[in-house]
Amino acid sequence: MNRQLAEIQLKKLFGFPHFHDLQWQVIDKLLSGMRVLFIEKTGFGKSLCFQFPATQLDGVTIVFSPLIALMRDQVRSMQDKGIRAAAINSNQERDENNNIIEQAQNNELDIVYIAPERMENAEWISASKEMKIAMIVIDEAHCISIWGQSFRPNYRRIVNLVKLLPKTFPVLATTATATPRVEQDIIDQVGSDLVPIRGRLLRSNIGLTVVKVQSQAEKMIWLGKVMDHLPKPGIVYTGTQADTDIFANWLQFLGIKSTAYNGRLDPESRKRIEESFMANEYEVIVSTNALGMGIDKSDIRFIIHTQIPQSPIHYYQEFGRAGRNGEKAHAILLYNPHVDLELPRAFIEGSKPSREKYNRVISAVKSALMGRNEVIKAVNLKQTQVSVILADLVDQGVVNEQVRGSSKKYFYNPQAPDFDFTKFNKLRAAQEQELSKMVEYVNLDSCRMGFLCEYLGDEPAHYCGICDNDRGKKVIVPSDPVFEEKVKTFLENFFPVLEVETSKSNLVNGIAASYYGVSNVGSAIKHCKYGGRGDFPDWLLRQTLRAYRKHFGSETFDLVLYVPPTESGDLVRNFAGKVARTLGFPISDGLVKSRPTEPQKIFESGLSKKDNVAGKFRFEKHEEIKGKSILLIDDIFDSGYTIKEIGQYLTNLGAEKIAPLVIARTVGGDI
Amino acid sequence: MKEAAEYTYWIAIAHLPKWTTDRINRLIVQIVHDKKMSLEEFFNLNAQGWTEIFSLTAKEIADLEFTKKDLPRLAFIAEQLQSEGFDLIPLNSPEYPTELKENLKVKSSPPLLYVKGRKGLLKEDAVAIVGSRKAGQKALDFTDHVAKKSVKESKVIVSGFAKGVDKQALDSTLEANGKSIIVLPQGILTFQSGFKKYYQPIINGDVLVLSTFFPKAGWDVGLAMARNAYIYGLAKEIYVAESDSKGGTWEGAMDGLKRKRSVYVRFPEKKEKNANLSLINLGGIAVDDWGEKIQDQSPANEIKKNGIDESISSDQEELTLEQKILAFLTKGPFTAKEITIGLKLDWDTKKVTTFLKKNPNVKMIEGKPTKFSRTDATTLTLF
Repeated sequence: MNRQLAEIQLKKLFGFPHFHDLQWQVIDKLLSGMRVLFIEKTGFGKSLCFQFPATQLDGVTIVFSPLIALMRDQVRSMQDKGIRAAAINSNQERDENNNIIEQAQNNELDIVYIAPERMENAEWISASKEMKIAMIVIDEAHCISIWGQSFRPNYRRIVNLVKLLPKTFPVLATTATATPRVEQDIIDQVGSDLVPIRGRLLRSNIGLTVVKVQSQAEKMIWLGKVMDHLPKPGIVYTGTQADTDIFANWLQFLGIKSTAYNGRLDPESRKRIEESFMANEYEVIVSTNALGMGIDKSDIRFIIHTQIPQSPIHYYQEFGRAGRNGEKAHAILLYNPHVDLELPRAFIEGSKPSREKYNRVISAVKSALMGRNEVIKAVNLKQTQVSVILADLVDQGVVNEQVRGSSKKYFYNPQAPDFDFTKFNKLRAAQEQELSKMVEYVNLDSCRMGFLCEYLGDEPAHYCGICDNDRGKKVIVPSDPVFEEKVKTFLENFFPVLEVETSKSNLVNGIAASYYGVSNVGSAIKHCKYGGRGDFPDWLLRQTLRAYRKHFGSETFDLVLYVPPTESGDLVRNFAGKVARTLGFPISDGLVKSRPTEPQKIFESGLSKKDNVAGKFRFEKHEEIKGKSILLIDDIFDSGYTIKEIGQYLTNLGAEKIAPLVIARTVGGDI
Repeated sequence: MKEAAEYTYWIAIAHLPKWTTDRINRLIVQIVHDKKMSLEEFFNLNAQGWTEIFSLTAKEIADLEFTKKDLPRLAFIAEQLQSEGFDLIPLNSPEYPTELKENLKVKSSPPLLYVKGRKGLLKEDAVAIVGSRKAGQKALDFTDHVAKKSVKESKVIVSGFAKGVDKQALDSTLEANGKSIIVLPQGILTFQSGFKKYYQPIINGDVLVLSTFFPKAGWDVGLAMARNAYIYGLAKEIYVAESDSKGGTWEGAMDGLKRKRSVYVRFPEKKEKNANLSLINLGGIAVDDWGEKIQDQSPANEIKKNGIDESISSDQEELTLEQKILAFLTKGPFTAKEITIGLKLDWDTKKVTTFLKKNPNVKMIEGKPTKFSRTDATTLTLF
C-alpha cells in the first residue's frame, strides 16, 4: 500500500487527511512486516502508527499497554469511528473480558489492548493461542529495560514472545522516553531487526523552573503562595507517602481543593480520586509517583515536584503529563540542597536487597514448589523485597515461573547458573550517575529543556525560550512572616489520620498526634519505651488530646481500652488511664492477650505481621463490650494489623464502634 | 538450542499434522543437513521454493502453508515453555540422546524432546524397567531389586510414569538415591501435579521429565502406547518385569527383540499367567528375581516342558538371519541375489527381497538392479 492509498483510507476511517512524515515512515515499515522502535514525545500521534495498520492487516493487533485509563480512552475513540477495538483489563468483569477474547478468536476485532501482566495469566495465554494475530505493539517500551525509569519484569515475557514470533511478523515498540542507553538495551533484548526511529523530544509548551529552598517550611510557603498564580488543575509530586498527606492538608488548609494519593490507598479510593481528578473536582492532587501510569488527562497545567526525582528520565516522564493539549504548562522543581538527596540515595541503596536475603529466598524456593505468599512467609522479608528478589531470580534464570489457573509458582531451575550480583553494582553506578545528572540539571544556567532533551538522546542545542534560565528569571523564596505564621499554625493542628475503616468491622478512622519521624514525638516515645525514662511526658498527652479533639470533636465514648503491651510494661496502660481520666470516659484493663505475641517489628512482611496477631486477643466479659462505642489507645501505629485485629475481634463481640487513637504513626508503614 | 527463535519452528515441524515421524525426520535431515538451512529459513520459503529445493508434494505444501499460518500461536506456546523453564532438544542437538537415535533411527526417533530437569541424565547409561500396570507383587519386587541394583551400578532408570511397574521403578530409584528419567504419556505442560510431587528430585537433578508430544496434549491411550517405544529407545538394557501377550509392554519388548536389543525378562514361576516365557523363547534373556542372568537355563527345554508351541521358533530363526544379513551389509550395498548367494541362504531371491523391504534396519536403494544397504550405514551425520 502506498502513502496515497493509505491516506485515502486514513481519511475514510480516522477523518485525518494526512500522516506526519514520521508516522508514515513507521506505518510503511510495519505494513511490510518489519519491526520498529518508535521514540516520540507524548501527544505526537504515536498511537495512529499502530491503530491505522491494525485496520489494514488481516487478523487482530495486540497492544500491550500498562495504562488502563489510556486504553479506555483510545478504545472509546476508535469505537466512535467504527473501528473494531476493545480492551481486556482487570477493571472489567470476567464475562466482559471473556467476551472480548471470544470476539478476537472469531476474528471480529482489529485491535485489542491488554495489560502486560496478562502475559502471566494462564487463561489469556491459552486464549491468545487460538487467535489470528496480525501485529504486536509494545506500548511504554522503556519498561523493557532496567536502565529505564520504570522497569517492569512482566515485560520480559512480551520480549520473549516477540523473539519467538516469525521474523516477518510486524512488531512496534513505542515510548516517549528512552535514553540512547535504554534504546540500545531494547534493541539488544528484542533483536537487531528492530529499527529505531526517533522523533524530537522538545516539549515547547512546558516552561521549566527550579526553585531552591532551605527547608521544608520554605517549600510549603512557596507552594502556598504560588497557588494563587498558577492555572489549575495540577499535580504536586512528593517523595514520601507522609508528605502527600502533609502537603495535601496544607493546600486544603489554604482553601484549595486537593487530596493525597499514594500506594497506601486501597484500589477503590485510588479509582475514586482518579475519576474525580479527571472530572476536575480537585484542583490539585498531591501524590507519590504512584499516580501517573494510570492517568491520561490532557489539560494538566502544572507539575510541581517537592522532591528531586531520581533521574532526568523520571523527571521528563513525570512533567510530561502536563500540557498534553498543547496549552502552556509549568514544570517546577523545589530543591533543598541540604537534605533532598538523602531520599533518592537511600532509594538507590535500598533498591536491591542484600546478598544474604537473595540466598534466603533461593533456599526457600529450593525447598518446595511455592507461590509468592508462601515464599514471603518462609523467609520473613518485606513483600516488596521478595518481589524484587524473585523478579531478579527469574530474570537470571535461577527460577522459572509456572502459571496454572490463577496461581503462579516459582520453580527452581535444576541447571541454575550462579546468581550474578555484579549486575547490581553496574545498575547502582548507573543510578548514581543519573542522580548526579539531576543535580546538574538543578544547578544549570543554560536552557533546561535543551539539557534534558540532549540527555535523552535528542539532537543538541535547543533553546526553549520559556524556562527560567532562558527567560533570565531565577526564582527565589522571599521571607514572608504572614505565611510563616500560617505554616506554623497548620503544623500545630495537623494530625495524621489512621485509615482503618472497612466494611467488615465497626472500626472507624482514627487519629495520631504526629508522624513518628517528622517531629520530636518519635524520639520522646523511644526514650520512654526503650530508655526506661518512665511514663510518656505530659506534652505528648496534651498533643494527643488535641488530636483527639480535632478529629472527634465533642464525641463521647462508652469505654476506653488499650492495646496490651508486648514489651513496654505499663507505659500505654498509664497513658490510656490519663487520657480516659481527662476525657471522663471509663477505662477497662479487660483486653488481654490469650497467647503471647512477638513484637510486630521483628516481622518484615504484612502477611507475617497479620499471622502474628491473628486470634491473639481476648476480652472476658463480653457484656461490657456489646453495643458500646470504644476508644482504643496505643502508642505507635505502624502496619495497623494489631488495631485491625482487635477491631475485628471487638466487632465480633458486638461493639458498635471502635475508634483508634495513637501517639504516632510511622512514616513508611509496611509493604 | 542456541537460537531460541528456532523453538517456534521446531514445534511447528515436529507436530506437522498427520505426517509420519519418518517423513518429518527425513525433511529435517534434508533442511538442516543437506541444505544447511535453519528451520526459520525453510519456513520463510514459499510454495515454489518448497517444490524446487525440497521436491515436496502439493499435499505436503498445503500442510506447511497451514502450519505457517499457525506460527504466531505456536510462538505463544514456545514462549510459555521457555518462560516456565522447559528445555527443547531437537533432533540435531548435541544434547539429543545418542542411544535414542541409534535405537529408533530416522524412522521413529522423536524429532523434538521437551524436558524439565538436568539434561545431563540423557547422556548416562540407562536401564528401562517395564511391565504391566496391574503387575503382581513378584513383578514389583523384581522391579525394586533391578532398580536398586542399577542405581548401585550408577545407571539411570527410565520408566513411563504409569501405575504398577513404572511407579515402582521410580519410587525404588528415588529411595535408593538414584537417578531417573520419566517418559510422559502426555504433553509436558499437562504434568503439573507430577511436578509438584517430584519437585525435590527434579530440582536436585535426580529426575528428568521428558515428553515427545505436543506440549498441551492431555493423557491419551494412544500416546501411552507410543511412548513405550521411547522408553525402550532411551535405554541400553531393558528389563521386563511382567508382560501380557499383547499391549504396550509386549509390543515394546518385541520391537526391542527385533532390533536385537538386550531384553532381560524375569523368569516367571509356573503358576504365573503372563507372557514372560514367550518373550524368553523369542530371544529375551531370562533373569532371576534379582535381575541376574540365569546361566544354566536352556529356554528351549523349559519351553517344551511348558508346552509352548514351536511356531514361534521360526521368529527366532529370522532374528539370527537378520543378524547375518546386517553383518553382510556392513560391507556395502548389495542386491537381493548377491545377499542370497553370499550368505548361502536357502530362501529364494523373492523371499529375501520381501524380508529386506520389511526390515527397518535395511534401506532400499532405487535403481537397476535394486540394492539394499543398512539404514545406519547410509544415515546422515545428523543421526
